[in-house]
Amino acid sequence: MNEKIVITGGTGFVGAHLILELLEQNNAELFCLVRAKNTSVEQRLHQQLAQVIQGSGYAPELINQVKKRCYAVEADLLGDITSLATSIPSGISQFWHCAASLNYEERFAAEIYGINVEGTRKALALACALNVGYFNYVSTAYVAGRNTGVILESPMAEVQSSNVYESSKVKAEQLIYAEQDMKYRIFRPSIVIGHSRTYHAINFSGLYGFLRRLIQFKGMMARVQHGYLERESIRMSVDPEVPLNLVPVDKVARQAVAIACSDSSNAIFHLTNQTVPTVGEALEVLFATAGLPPPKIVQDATQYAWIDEKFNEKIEFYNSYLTGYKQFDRRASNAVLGEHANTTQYAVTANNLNEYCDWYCAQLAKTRNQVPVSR
Amino acid sequence: MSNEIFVVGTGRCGSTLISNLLNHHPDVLSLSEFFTFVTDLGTLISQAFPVMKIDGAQFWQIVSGAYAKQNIMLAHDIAMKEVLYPFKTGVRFNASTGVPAILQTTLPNLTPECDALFDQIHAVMAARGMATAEAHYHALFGWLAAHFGKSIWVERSGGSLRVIERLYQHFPNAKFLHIVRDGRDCALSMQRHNGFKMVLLVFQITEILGVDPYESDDRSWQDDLPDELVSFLPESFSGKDFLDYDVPPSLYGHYWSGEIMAGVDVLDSIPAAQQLTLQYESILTDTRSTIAHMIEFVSPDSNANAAWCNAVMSSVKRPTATWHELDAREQSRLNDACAPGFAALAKRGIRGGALDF
Repeated sequence: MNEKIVITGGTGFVGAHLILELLEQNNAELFCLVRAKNTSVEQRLHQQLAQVIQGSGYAPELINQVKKRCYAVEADLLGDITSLATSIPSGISQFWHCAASLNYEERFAAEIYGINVEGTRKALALACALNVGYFNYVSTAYVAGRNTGVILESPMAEVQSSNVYESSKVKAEQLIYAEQDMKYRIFRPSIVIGHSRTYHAINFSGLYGFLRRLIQFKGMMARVQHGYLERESIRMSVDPEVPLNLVPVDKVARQAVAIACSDSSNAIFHLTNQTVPTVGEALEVLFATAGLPPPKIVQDATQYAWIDEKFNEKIEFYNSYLTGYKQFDRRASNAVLGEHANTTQYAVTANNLNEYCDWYCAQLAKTRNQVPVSR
Repeated sequence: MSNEIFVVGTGRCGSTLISNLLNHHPDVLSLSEFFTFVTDLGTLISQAFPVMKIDGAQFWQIVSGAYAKQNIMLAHDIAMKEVLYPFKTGVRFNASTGVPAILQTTLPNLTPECDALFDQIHAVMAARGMATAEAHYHALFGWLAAHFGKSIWVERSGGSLRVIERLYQHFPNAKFLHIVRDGRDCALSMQRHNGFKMVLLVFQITEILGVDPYESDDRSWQDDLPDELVSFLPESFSGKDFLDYDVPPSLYGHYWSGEIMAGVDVLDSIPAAQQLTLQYESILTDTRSTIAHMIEFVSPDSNANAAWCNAVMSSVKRPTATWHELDAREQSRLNDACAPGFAALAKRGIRGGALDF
């Protein structure tokens, strides 16, 4: 009899890749909890997975496995889930909770907490009701917030978060630690970017959000004064030598599934990347992609002009990534995976980061209107 | 010589004073803020100058449109002080109905019977056939000048350097009176002006949403809006947040420099005989000779110029606020922001007085 697995967030970026990885790696039947929208949950799930298969270079035949072994179950973790367990067969071995809100603005605080914290509480309750073997949770390496130095693969207690997104993920993890009667694994990917070979992505927060804001800011200033930012470098107070831990989504999915298939007794795993650019190198690529000169790195914000202040306000969310040296400990992950398997394939460097950025800019140009500066 | 004149500037540069002075000249029809409102504060410039021929009714829609940005400002009691239409007491148009662009300032500046004049113009313009926008504008301004028995019209809109290229394309024989004021004082004045604040807010939101939020209800990119800008979407507009929103003078300094740099590029392409640049500060310090120089440019053939000079001399008042009142840090930032604009003016030989720094 095939293994049975439940997944939330299967139409999301990491969730979709996890599904495909699970389909490739074993014979499990996957029960994907999908929120109802305009189209049927099955259609939505299968369309999204088909898009990822095509965009990420998976074998086209994998879509047949999706149709055969991937079942969409209509569910809203923010709603009433008391009868949901009856829609899912018994004998579930693993529950993967990937659903999350990646917003961070304060006005979304209630929604972020609703999805990330209350959603996790409901997912845990459902997993308990299903009597699952393992609860696997996709968190973020940035639950570390403003902590610096070595970040251990251990429970995160009191931490100063940089924004509501990070604090919601800490709270969600804490709900899981408190669960006494269920085994769990917490996966903490760093900044997830597109596929390592095709650069394809379906979620555009993180690195892409930063790039988008940079492009928007350039556009705003062009409306104020044509060419201003092309002539004058934006000042930023960041740590240029700090590594910017970017990890391709396929590496995250592959690592997570490999760990879940192992007999590791550890519970928390950093899904980070070994070969990454420094903040200074990455910013140079990002600014060049936006058609801007590299930022001028300054000691502190007292050296900002007003425009620098405004720009740095707009990218405040990314401060956790840009300042403070964080070394993500990987002893638990490496114990299962070895020392960063396939390092070359997944390396993100100053030399290939522009490929990820250019891919995104091409998508942006296709999907986004542009109001010309009118004179 | 041409009897079509545009007063152009960066905005907050003293051009309103010029408009008011010229309003007293017996031969001059002073058209105030026409393109400010017809372009909805400079955000719908291409729509105001369609490339294709249009009929009179379509042209009338352009000049009499009740545009979203200017009218949301009326609705939230943050109207620009240039708005002269009695929208709070007027029974025909008010903040709820929206006030047509041409009625916001232009027609009330000409007559208290602006509603009746509006209807007269409507009848005249709607009867026109297919023509270029240029021909329709010529007809409209010419009709207004004739209606008021004037031989010259002078259109002046705040910040019209932004449209000078279009104006020159559509009115290649017009004369351009360019008013220049110390950018630092312009910036300070812009900071205190609701119209300029509105424009900068719209710039930001438009760039984030990929659409002008007052012209499109596409909110696909709304999640990218920072919290501080949500209050300025038309569907969630807050007059209080608008008044509380603070933009420092230095940003307007950058805007001023940008407008000067782009504007002088166009002025360089206009024949010297068709343009005159005056410094606002000269009007304050050397009033008689400066306004005499100006009126010779505007109406060289009029025999009323000397009497007009005598009559309007005393109307010239000094502004109360100057950039020197800012703290040292903001002064420094403002100097930096205005430097490119000063450099562009210096290339045209515009220096001296308050512009020395």
